[in-house]
Amino acid sequence: MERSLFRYVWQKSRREQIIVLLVILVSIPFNWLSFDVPRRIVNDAIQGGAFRDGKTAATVFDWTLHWPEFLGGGSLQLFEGFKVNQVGLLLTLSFYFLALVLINGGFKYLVNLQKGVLGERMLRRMRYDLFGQLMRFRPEDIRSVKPAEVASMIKDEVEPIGSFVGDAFIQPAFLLSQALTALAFIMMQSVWLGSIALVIVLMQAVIIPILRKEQLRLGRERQIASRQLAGRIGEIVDAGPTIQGNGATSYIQSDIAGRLGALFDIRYALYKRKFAVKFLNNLMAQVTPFFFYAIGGFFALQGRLDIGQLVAVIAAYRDLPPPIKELIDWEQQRNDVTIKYEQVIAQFSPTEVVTLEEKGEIAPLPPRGEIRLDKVEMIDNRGQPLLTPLMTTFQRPGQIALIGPAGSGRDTLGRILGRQTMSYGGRVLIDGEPLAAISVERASHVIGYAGSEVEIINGSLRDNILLPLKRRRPTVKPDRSVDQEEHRRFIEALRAGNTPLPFAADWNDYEGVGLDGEDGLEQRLLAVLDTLGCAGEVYELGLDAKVIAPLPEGAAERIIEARNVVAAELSKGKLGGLIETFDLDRYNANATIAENLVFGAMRNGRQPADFLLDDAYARSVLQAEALEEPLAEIGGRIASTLVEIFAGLPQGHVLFERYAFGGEVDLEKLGELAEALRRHDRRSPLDPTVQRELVALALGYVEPKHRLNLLDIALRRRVLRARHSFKTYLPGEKADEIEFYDPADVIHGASVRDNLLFGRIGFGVPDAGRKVAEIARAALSRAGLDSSAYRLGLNTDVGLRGRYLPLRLRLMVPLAQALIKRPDILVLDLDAFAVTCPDPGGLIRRIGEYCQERTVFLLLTDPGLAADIPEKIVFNGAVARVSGKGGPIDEADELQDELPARNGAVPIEART
Amino acid sequence: MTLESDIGCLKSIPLFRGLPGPRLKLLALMGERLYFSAGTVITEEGDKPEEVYCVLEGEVELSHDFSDGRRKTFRLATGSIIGDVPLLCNQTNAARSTAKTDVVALRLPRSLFFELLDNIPEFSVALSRDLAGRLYRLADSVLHGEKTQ
Repeated sequence: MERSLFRYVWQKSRREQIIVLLVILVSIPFNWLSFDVPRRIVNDAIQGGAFRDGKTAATVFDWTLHWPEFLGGGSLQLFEGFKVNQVGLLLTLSFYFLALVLINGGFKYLVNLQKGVLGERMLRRMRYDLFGQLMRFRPEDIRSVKPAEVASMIKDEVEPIGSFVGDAFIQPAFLLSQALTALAFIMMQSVWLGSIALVIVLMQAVIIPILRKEQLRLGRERQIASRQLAGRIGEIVDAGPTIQGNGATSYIQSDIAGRLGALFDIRYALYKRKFAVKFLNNLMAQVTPFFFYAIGGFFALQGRLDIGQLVAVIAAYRDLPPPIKELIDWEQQRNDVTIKYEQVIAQFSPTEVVTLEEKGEIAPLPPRGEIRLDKVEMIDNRGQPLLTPLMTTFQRPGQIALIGPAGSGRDTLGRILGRQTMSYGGRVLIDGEPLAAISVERASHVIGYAGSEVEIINGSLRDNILLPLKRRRPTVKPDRSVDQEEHRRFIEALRAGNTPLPFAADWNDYEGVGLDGEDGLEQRLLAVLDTLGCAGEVYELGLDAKVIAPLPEGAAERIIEARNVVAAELSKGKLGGLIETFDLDRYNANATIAENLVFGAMRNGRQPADFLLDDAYARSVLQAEALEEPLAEIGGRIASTLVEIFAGLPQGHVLFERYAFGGEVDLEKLGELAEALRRHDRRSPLDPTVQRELVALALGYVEPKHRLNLLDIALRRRVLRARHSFKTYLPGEKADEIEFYDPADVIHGASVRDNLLFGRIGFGVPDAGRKVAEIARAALSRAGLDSSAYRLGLNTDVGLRGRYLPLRLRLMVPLAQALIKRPDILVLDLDAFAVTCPDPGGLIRRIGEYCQERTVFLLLTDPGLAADIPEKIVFNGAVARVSGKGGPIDEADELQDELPARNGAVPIEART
Repeated sequence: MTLESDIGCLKSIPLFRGLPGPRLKLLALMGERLYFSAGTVITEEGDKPEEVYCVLEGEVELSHDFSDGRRKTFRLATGSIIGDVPLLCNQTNAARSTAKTDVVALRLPRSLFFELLDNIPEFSVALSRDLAGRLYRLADSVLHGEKTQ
């Protein structure tokens, strides 16, 4: 980016700046007139200067053009003006003055508005440019920036720069024009007074900036200190649970306290300076009128200056200090902002950047070729080798296993080949072309990398998997009619140098990955899921998705049909007991208490439990049936049991999540609840918030699942009675929110699974889930809803960092991203994912089949899995040994030392 | 059947006798309590185990059919644990297990089993002791030709 702020601003907004400057130029005469009119009002109208020689009328607004001498003199009257008497003159001139005030105000408004727009536009451009710059960093540089600092720079620190941009050229011009007009006016009235004003103004202009130097230095320090504070807070938040767990909170707090203290000192010093300068500035501005009164008054008494002139000078002087002060402020701001800009730009100017976009068309790699590693090595910043020099050549296409423990040279080479790092020694040559020199865009076509770090963006599972395809700039179709708002947005984006391409458009690069359109993509997605063995999981996710109105044509019938098939199938196979169907007159033991109470689904996607807790009507039903207390009682028992059995296990523990009562509950909260209950005096009513939390806990209770033996027959009966009265008295306006279970109708808002089974799978029956899933699957595919289930599964919201996804699917995301685009070269770290696979060998075979005619580097720990892969590199720490078909024999022998000896014994591996 | 009775059952199993109360409760709560009527096959020979069963009530028979029609069986009493060995060494089930009587078993899915091993030291120790005991008896029977159980 441009290193000088002013050049940057001038380059990007020249046209607009000039327009505003012209507006200012036009405004100067009006400004001048507004100084002159008060003089005429006092001299001519009030003191009667225009009527001095017995005249009874004066002429106003006569427009006469005087020819200059060289054109022969003479004059041309354009408008002869009005003749008015003294009162008329006073009023006319007063209204004239009022009109000038309005006009000047109008100019000011126009200029300020334009300045604001200009600033905002530049701010938008600058943020976008900075962000774009960030995307040009080398991958390892991006990883090493602190997210909070960068966010604070892009968001907060450029803000004042942006608002200054509008002022950068306009403000000085505007203020100077104002100040010079005022000064020139004063000079014309009295050279003496003008000289005094000029001297004081000059003094201000010289002394104040000198004093402000220190202020600027402090300002810069403040900026750096606050940015570091933001970065530190970001770090601490990331490590929050660890810090808490280790009891280091006070230690960390003292660090923050120290930083806040340093920041305070800087700010305090800054304030002292600031107000001292302000005081001086004000003093100088106030002293000038003293001279005017004293000297100007003296002249007036002597008759060398008339009263009107003196009044006008004083009035004009009122207009002099503000522009001067603002000019000085502007100068200060300029320094301040220039420093800020340089600071920010320095952060965004790494020594090396990558080329982002390819200039021409992206040329695909020829089907055959070679990948040559030429003394590839890497050293960490302490000089320790991460990868010792490696020389080898692979033929493309081919399969290569990189075998070694996690964190060894295996991962380093993986990152190098996957272009996740560029700071390595030696060269990686793909058909003779250095990998490091390829543009980001081309590399994204050629290489697919799935490392051990799982980055999941907010959105659906589909959004995540398809992220690598979002590289085709959507075509903006001119034939489509564009509404005005959209057009405006488009133009505005272009003006600010932003991309006008809409985020919501279809960015998928179908051609680039060899597909013809959306249908092909859907097929490819399923193929990828099958390859990774995750189709079943995604299908299950789809079954958990909610059925949301409006359904496509005929879908409702097909769901009902599938439901009947499932029911028939279950009763035929004597499996009826597997599912406890929804029955209005029976308590469904395998559903939560909340679901039993509402006996239906919420259409708006809320949970029945939330509705019961928050809705006044629902609460009143619970109260009327005297359910709140027993529910709170159950909640209390749950809380104390959970606290007892999970005591001593770390926070957010997997075991706890497994038994969880919904995502909101954590052990700490349960502990607080249990504590509140223990301290609670039985005779007084419970604290309402505690009671609410306890009821919330109880509402999620499922007897056969949680097995705390808390639901007796009497309570079930009461729940049933509450269910009936809840349904009977449901107010009309709420009827739209709830859809009661009805065997003959689709339940909108309930999951696909509930809709199919119309009941709940019983807990405690061996293999119930699997058997029912098979039947449900068969029924769905018979009803032609198979693809819908996958679609729904892929549309599942993944939550923050993939919270809502099962671990296996979370680990799948990077692999699926690499596979979906079918690049020429794939680098896949299978370590974490393979552990979750029941059949890792099959996974590797399927990946091999999927990636035929491609080059695959598989990162593995277990050499047994790489048995069928012809070429291998085995890592021992940073040292790599190449083996394979083409490898020399002695190296293959050496390799034997690395692998467990195969003298008939099965190698035993320690599980870590 | 309530949680308390499950915990009682677990407590009577030598494997878990040493676990503290809250941990026993955790185990009972996390596991899935399943009922197999007499004669039901619980796990099949040659399958990859996906879970571990703790026999809370009843008896289980392990059997292997030889190709010549001979059959070798082995009886497991209440309190035995099935499936841990193949799961730990990543092998298939060596025998078919059938409910000899009506059986109540606590099912610990594969993932839960490893989570428990990873996170509950008492559980790991108890399982190691149990495994060691079985290994000792096995060695004893191989070396001294004595009958086990």
